[in-house]
Amino acid sequence: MADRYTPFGLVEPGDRVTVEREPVLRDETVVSKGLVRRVRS
Amino acid sequence: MTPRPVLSVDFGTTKTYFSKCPAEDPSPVSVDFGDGRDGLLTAILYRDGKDPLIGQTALDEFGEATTGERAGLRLVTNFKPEIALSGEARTAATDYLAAVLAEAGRQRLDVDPSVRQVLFGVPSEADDGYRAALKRVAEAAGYGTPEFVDEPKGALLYHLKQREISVDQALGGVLVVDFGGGTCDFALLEGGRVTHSWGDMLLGGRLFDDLFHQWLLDQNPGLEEDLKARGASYFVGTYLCREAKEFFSRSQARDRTTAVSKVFPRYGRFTDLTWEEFVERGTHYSPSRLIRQAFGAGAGNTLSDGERDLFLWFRKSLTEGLRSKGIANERITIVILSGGSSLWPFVPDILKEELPHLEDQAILRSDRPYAVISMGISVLPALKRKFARVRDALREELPVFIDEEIRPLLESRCALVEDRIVAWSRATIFQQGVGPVLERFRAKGGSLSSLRKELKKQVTLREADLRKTIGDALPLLLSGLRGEARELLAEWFSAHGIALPKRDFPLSADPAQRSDTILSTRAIGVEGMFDALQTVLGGLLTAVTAVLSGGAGTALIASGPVGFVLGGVLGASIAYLLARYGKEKARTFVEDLNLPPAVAGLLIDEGRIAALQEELSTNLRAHLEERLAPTRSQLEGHIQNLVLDEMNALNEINSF
Repeated sequence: MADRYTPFGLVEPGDRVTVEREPVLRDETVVSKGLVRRVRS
Repeated sequence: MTPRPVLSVDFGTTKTYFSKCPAEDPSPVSVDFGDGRDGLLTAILYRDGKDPLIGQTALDEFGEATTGERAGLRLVTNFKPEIALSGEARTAATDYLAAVLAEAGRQRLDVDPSVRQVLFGVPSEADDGYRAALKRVAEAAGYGTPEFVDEPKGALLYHLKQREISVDQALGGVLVVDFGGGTCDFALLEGGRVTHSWGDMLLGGRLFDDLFHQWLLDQNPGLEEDLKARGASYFVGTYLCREAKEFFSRSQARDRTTAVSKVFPRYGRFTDLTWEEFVERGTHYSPSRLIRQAFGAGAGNTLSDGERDLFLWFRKSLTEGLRSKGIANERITIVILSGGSSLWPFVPDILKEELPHLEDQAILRSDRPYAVISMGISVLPALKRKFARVRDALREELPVFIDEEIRPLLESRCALVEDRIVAWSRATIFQQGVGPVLERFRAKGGSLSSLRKELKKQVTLREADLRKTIGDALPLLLSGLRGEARELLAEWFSAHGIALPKRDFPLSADPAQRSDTILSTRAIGVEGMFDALQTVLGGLLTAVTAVLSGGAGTALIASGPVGFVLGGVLGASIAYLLARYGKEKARTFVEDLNLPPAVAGLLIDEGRIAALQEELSTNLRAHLEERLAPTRSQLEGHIQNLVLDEMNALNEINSF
């Protein structure tokens, strides 16, 4: 996932995340990474 | 000792930038720690039982944390200015810088300080205590023993390396405005050294982030409570609003009449943001609770509530600093903008208003103004070595450059001026003045003495026109010369990777305008030109008189029946005068003789007139060449001095 999304704040393996913004792809190549945030309880 | 590549650190209050540069090649790169942006926020988040976090991640993690999570967290920011005074700040700085190296190792970034020369930027006002504290911090964090470079000098070096300013400009009055995320610093450099510095520890880009956050909440009623309930206040208030701010700033830099809208799915939207409303909000800005809390998290400075004008704040930071330091505007010849907030279009606007003597191109800002200081600092050792090489090369190549490039140029420019003046003289003095007089003499006859007077009159009549022609032609020499010589110099300097000095040749053709005039109608010798003309015309008349006085009898007799009679009479008369009164009397007699057209036409034939025209041109050209020779060598000297000055300036840079 790290190649398609940038984490907002700290995101560690196993953390649940919300996708804040989808990546922009062209022919399966990442033009602009998406953004994820950790879901906090 | 073999030069080592460089790692430079612009250790900032809000953000820290790292750059690398090869030892010999001044090609710096900013270190990207994986988020595609230059630099790392100067923040460290200590976590119970875990490694600390640094940079934007530290701030975001703290901002996003729930109240429960925050119990195990401690965020430290704004510690950099305090390292000389506070042990806690020193510890935070050491941990932060050490964590940067650890993070670089994890990301396999090649920044190893042990194989590099490490340079740290220091604020210009930093005292020995600060420098000693920074040295201890850097050593403890694993950077070895660092060397220090004044931060503003980094910005100057960057633009020098980019050839956007020349070496002589770099040594003039350069104002560096470093308007970053958290602070706004000003420094005046003269002779490459910081002579004055001042700044504001609160004025920074994050106030504009806050302005946009408030703007979003105003446009989306109920959003604030909604965000709070969903735990997204920090995310929206910092990240999304900063994105919107940068988008707005970029679009307004292109066109301030465009309204900007931006949608944040699930978090509201910005609708029709205009420049006018931005100005209105910036003029009446009140910091939000969120931003005041953020300021409170660091040591030292606090931001009070209450309305303030952000634009006036920046303007006053500039002008009050200039006034309190006694800096006259004219001392500033270049302004360099650094820091992300310098991208706001109002920044150059205010600078132009307050420093109206500066041309647009005197205000410089790179496309990536964030990292210019660290990149400039990293380039210093390689740039110094390069300039030393360039200086030696210029010294060695100067005689060849003068001989093969400048001298032919000067010769061709002088020839152009000579051609102009000679062509004008032929067309005006000869074809309109001397020529018709000679033709009239041939057609109507007359005395040689009246011809002499008339010829002299024709030349004298055109004296004013000749002066004007010379006055018009001389600037051709200088203006063309300036352009072409600068082009040759630029090409030569560019081959060595340096920009051409800004200063011009201190030459003028107009004595009324400058004290350093080296060319004037006097220099070219108008009087001398008249002498040259009169000499040729006088030579013609002397030759004709000689014909009459000496071989006239023979010449005229040989010319036919009329000449036979005249020749006989003249020969007898002149022989009598010569014997009775001497040579001078005989000459006067001959010159006063009223010659009939037939004799006049024979004495001054068409061949003689054509030869006279050629002789006039040759004599004028010879005279002009002789008169322009000292000017040529003076111009050579000026160009030589320009190069010698540049070599001295390169030496100055080497003492940075």
